[in-house]
Amino acid sequence: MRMATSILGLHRPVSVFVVCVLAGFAGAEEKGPPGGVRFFEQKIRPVLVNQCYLCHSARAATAGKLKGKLRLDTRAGTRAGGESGPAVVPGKPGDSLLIGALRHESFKMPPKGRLPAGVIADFVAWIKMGAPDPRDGDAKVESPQDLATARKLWAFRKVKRPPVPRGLRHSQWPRNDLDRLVLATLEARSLIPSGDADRRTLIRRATYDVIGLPPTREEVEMFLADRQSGAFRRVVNRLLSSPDFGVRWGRHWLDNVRYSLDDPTCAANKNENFSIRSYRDWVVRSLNRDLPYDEFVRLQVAGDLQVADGPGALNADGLTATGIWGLAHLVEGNDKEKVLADCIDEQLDVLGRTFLGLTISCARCHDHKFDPISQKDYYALAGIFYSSHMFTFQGSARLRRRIEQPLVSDEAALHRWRVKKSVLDGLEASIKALDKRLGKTRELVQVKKELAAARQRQKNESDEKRKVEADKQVKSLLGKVASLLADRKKNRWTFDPEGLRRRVGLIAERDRLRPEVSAVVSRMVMQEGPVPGTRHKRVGDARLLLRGNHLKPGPIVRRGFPGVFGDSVPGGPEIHGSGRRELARWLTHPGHPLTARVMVNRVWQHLMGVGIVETPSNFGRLGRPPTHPEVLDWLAVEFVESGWSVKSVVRQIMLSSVYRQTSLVTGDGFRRDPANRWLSRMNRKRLDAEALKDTLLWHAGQVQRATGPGWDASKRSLFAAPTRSAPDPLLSLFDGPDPHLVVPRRADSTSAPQSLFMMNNPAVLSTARTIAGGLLKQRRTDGVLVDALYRKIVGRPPRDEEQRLAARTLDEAREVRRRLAVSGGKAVEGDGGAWEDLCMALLCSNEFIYVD
Amino acid sequence: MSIDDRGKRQLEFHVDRRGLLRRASAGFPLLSLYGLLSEEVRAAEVSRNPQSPRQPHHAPRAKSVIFLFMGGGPSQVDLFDPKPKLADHTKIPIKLPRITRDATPNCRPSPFRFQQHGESGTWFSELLPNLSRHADDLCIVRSVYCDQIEHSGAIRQMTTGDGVLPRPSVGAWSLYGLGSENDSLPGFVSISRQSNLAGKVIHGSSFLPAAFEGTSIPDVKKPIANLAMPVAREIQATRLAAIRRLAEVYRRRREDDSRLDARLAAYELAFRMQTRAPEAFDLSRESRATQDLYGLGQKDTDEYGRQCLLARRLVERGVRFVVANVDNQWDAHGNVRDHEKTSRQTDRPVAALIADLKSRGLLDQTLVVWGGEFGRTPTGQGGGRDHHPYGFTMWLAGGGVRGGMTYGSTDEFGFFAVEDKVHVHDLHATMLHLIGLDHEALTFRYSGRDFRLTDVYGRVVNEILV
Repeated sequence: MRMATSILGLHRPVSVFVVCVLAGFAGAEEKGPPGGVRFFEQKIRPVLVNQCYLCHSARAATAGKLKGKLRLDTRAGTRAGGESGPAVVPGKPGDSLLIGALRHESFKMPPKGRLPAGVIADFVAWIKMGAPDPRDGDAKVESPQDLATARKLWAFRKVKRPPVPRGLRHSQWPRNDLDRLVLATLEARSLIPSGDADRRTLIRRATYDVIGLPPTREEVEMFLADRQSGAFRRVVNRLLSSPDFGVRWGRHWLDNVRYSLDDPTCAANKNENFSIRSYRDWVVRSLNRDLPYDEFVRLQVAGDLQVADGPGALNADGLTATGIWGLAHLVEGNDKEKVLADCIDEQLDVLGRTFLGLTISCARCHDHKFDPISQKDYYALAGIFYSSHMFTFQGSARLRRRIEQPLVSDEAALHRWRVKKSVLDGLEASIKALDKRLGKTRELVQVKKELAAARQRQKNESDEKRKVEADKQVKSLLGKVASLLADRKKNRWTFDPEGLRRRVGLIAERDRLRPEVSAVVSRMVMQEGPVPGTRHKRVGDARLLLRGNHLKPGPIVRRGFPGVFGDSVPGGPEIHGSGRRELARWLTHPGHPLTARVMVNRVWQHLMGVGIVETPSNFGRLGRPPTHPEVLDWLAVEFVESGWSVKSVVRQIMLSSVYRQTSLVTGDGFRRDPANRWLSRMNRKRLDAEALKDTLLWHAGQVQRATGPGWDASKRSLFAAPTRSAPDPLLSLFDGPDPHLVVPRRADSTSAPQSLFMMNNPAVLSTARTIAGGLLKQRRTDGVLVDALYRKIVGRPPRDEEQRLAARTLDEAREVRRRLAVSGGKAVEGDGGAWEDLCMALLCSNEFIYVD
Repeated sequence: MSIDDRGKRQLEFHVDRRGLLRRASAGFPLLSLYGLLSEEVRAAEVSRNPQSPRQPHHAPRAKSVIFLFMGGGPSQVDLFDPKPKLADHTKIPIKLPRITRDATPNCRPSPFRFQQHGESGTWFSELLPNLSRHADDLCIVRSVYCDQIEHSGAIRQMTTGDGVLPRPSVGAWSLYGLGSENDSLPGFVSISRQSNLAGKVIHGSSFLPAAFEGTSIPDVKKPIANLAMPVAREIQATRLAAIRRLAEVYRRRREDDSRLDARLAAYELAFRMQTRAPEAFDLSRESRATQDLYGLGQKDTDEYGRQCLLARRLVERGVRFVVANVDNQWDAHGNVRDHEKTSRQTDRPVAALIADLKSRGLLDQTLVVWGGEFGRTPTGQGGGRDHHPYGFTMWLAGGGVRGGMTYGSTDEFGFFAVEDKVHVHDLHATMLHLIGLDHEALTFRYSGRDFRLTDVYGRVVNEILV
């Protein structure tokens, strides 16, 4: 411990802490010798809860299941005992009935089997020390959550436009109100904001942030040459109008929904025609055309229920958008009710964390321990999902099947497709039935065919040895024919050449139809209605599951929205159908305190590196409180007033002075704010896995920037996305999202396997080779080439010192390679090798992987 | 949360501490003062160098763990837990659990003979002629149970504690807790063919920082990805020198950012790994006698022999956690006698590992755990046995474990664990305990709460410890 504290230089605080904690303990320890309560908490209470409460608690009493009138969930109950006398007599294990029962002497408790000897010894020891037990009063059956207090937490308060601070000292610095709000916080802490980063840094930062690729040399030069005011605004606008924006920001969104191309845990879903790509592409498209965020949310929650334009049209986008609910990660089980309950839990987890920044799924088994989400609230929402479905559980009990619908835009096409599909299904079934019936006929035909071929060989073969072989074959095939004929007599099946002809016809028909049916991509969609094949037979309210256990259904809970939001967010007078339409409306009500705040915080995080709320999917009490609550609210108000335009939030932040700051520390900024919570400079960001991979591929000429129609984005990491069964090694190495999880924020790890990848992986090597090859074609002096190389890889010309260092590296590399060539080792022909070495070093450099 | 951010926020610990205090005085159970503090220190150290060795919670009994993962589910009643009663009954006279797969209720007696071995008189079936010679070194636990009946869920639970949700594996938790004692090898290695059943679960770090993910070795002969240098060593050294120079220039005016030095350090480590890891993975450096002991070069034993031998070489070099997985070989649905083959493949290598560790004085500081994701039904299914989570056998040996002991029992048919039951959480708690970690204090904050390997369960099985 001494070592540990000295690392942090924290000697004093630690000792203060120790004293205070001991003092804190003293209060709790009055009821027994020191350590007694802790012993109870560690060794005794868990056993009581897990082994005894089922039959000996207030809850058991409420359920009419209390046994022997004994309650072990309070100190008083434990001491008083039940029908047979005191369960625990402090200090006297011999007189405590509990011990005899645990030993299976007087009673046999727990009835399922004796507990380990060590556990029983703990109970004896506990009683000997006086049975210290802090459980005062009566046990609580339910902990009602105090909504009035809960509503005072910042996250549940109404979003209000904050007043703009006046009388700031650095009045030259702010460009907009956002800056004024940040500056006020800085000045209140006597911190000084930093100036703008230089233009090269700024355009590299902006380009990566918006499109996930570096700027081209021409773009950099153009920005440097643009001396008119509004130059940076023009860069930002150009970037925001590029289709690459959706590729980058679509990935940000998909991190929050467990996006994966496959789901290996669901055997029924290995359908090649089926595609989650439609959902992904819809996300990218929506971001690119700046679909208002409220509509973006509404479509995902209830797009299938939105009316389409014109008679006979289908709301294709709306249906596709509901694909979000099919990404739940599930393990197959024998018990479909459990699989369904788990599935809905995953859906509520995404609903809560992604749209609301609340860990709703914590309330599946009990009232949320920290946030005002009761278990009832959970099942009020769950009822909505129990009244909609994405899976059916018909047929095999062990498999769920996704609801799939072809991606077509009108009812007529859907109808045509369904007709074809049902004809196809009918054909498949007939062929299967025929195959079963014609088994022996086909066998006989096959054997006769082989026989004819063998006889042909027998006749034509000149080689003695092979002739003998053919004779043998004919003999054995004749035997087979005979035995089949005998079998026909015995089991009375008929030889059916007509059936065979029919089968050929059916197969031809099937092969003709099959591509027509599969040519239309189908995608999973959510549908109204109870879940087929389960006990949920009609649209309606669901039962609360006691302790989240699907085997213990409790009372029915009326569908609705968490009580903490009260009347501030009208949820509609009553619920029609599943309630998703009402849910969508409720989530996107302009007065909702969370929906807009959560989204603008995500945008802030992607641009600034850290969210104003550092836990972007947890705005509850265990999340981090906002560092700049006024900025958060200002952005949220602007967001809603702009018509929920995501692009305009991005633009507003990027054009601020806060965003444009240098990331270099100035003055005593680091000493005063080491973590940069107050934003007196820009945070340095590491390239995320996709940006890194795409940049390497871009340099190698394999990834293109969006150029307009005909643009091929297929090589970008988003589209070659990871699957759950075969993750992309590069992406997982550099903290890419685990497709099983909701990943609101990427980790930023540094590890040796990353370095091994950069130094040795063929992908990086081929990038280096491509770059070096391109340079050498220019046939210029080393100095000119080094200059070009720096501009290409890190977006700036080298300084003199760096020119000298590069020259040194080149000299060394050439020397080593010459030596190796002499000694017969492997070396690259010509001068390419040395340039590859320099190029590799730059690709492995910190400047390449970090964005200032 | 990224580890670097945790490091950057060192100073905030003051604030956190005050918050902690408030919670403590509000009557929250404060588990271990030492443990809580060291979690903060752990986070700070982790951010400097994820691999660096870290202070345990208490004095460890073992330094490393070798988990011999018997994928597929070995049959307890054919290996360690003799049940003569199975021969007397055609139908099992106990109430079957609600969740079963498709095993029949009919008893299937073991076709294998059982005998007692060692001074302890521990029972082994004839399938384990080599392992039974180490009877007095093993602690056989006959009463393990889990909650999952299908492979993927059960593997998930046996290696991460949770049968359904993605969680860090026990190896990742161990490495997070203790770091590694070797600066040129990965601290957690999983030798396992890539199978769809297990996927990344066995070595995954889930929400723990990626640095604690196990290095997966799907093929013993091709150990680490990207380890082979594409150019001569001298050229690679030139590149590293250039990387160093570039880092030196870039770090000026950026001294505040610890990630920059950490990344350069990672390049240095990677370079050392290229030089030294091949040696660690090169089994041909072992003597002929040792190779023979593990059964290398022989058809049945070569593959698992290599895995076991590599495991020993790695723990010898300070690697914290090694998994050697036989990958579903024990899944004998069709024929009980399939266990003969799997036993032939594993018995000798496993026995060799125990003998070898012992003769090198490593057994005392290594915890060896043997077991699958579940056992097999005492009742039949076709000619074999079905999956069985309700009571099965695992064994432990080495540092801190009582040798020659048989702990817990199943009912007279080998169906349910009845006495001294050991849940997977208890096993995990015990494993962490033996390497010096308190399973209740080793936590990581994710998604708004502190997660543990053992969730809110787990009991250290003190009865089997020395």
